[in-house]
Amino acid sequence: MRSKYILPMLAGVLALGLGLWLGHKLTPSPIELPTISGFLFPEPKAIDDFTLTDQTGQPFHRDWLMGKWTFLYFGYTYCPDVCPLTLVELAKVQQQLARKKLDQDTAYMLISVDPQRDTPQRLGEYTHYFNPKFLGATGTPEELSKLAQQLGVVYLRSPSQQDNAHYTIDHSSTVILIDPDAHLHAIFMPPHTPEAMVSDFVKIREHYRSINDK
Amino acid sequence: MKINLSALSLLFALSTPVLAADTATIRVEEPWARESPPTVTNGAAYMTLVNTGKEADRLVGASSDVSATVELHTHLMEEGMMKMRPLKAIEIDPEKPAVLKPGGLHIMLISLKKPLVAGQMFPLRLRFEKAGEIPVDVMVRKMGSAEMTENPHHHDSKAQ
Repeated sequence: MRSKYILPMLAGVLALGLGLWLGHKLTPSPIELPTISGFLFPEPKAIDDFTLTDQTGQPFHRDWLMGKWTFLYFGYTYCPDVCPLTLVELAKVQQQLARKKLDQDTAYMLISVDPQRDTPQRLGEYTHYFNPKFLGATGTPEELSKLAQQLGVVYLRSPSQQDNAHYTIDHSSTVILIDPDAHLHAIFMPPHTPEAMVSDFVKIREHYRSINDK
Repeated sequence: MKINLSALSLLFALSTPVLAADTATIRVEEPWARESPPTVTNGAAYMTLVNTGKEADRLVGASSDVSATVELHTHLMEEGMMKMRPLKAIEIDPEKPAVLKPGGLHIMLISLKKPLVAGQMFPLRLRFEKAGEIPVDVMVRKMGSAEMTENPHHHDSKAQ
């Protein structure tokens, strides 16, 4: 069961990395890419459609991502340490962007990799606690992995606790940035510091605008 | 002779707790935990363990009435994933404090009996291999303010 999934996942991550590297090597960038604390895609990557359910129970599709910058984080509410830590930092990112008046077209979403325990309602209560702007979504294991694989996100129920009701889930702790074309635009690597993410995001936005204004 | 020995060991056994208390070589600094987000029944406690003695010691367990289970955990970054794993012990070497903090070593509280509320304290008993049991009061901090201590200069720079 486990090995069945981990190989395709690892292959996906490697392919993503290779694509990133090749893209970086081969694509002459018209305007110099900013340097960020993570990966910035020289050619933002289109995302195949997926069907998840948001915190209100409504369907959540790729089209929802159009026209705004979305910060995605994959985690789960029973996660006691890394997820609250990341959501606290992301809440600070939102607050700092709001102060700069740069948050009108931003969205923040926790994608739960634990649909077995995280109902939409539970996700809504949980995310709202960190920041009123935060949203949540989850879905079937198939749809979750469809989205996660495209974003280079991996997760796996902790092998030592397969039969434990209090199982934990190993997961990527990256923050994914989706651009207004619903393309994978950047991946922020942990540890996340709000100041660095804000300044990176400001650079990314300016770069995006300079390309799209041409 | 036999009686003498056991009497001696009894005397020693009786005096051990007193001795341990006098020579306790572990100092527990700033134990804290995050308040519980809604719906959440797991928590984590953090602190810095300073060994003021000459010999290495180990934190081998902890217990508390606030949750059904208390475990020592760490995080490993492997295969692109953050992996939380139980630990049998946390080493505390002299002159090398063990820092339990978000994203790393922590004491996990599994199945909280009630939510942790900011501003309140709860008792936690730490068990050390050599220093014995040390009870501490863990301060529950508000989400967001909790991470402040990680960067002591943060406040200063903000105040400028």
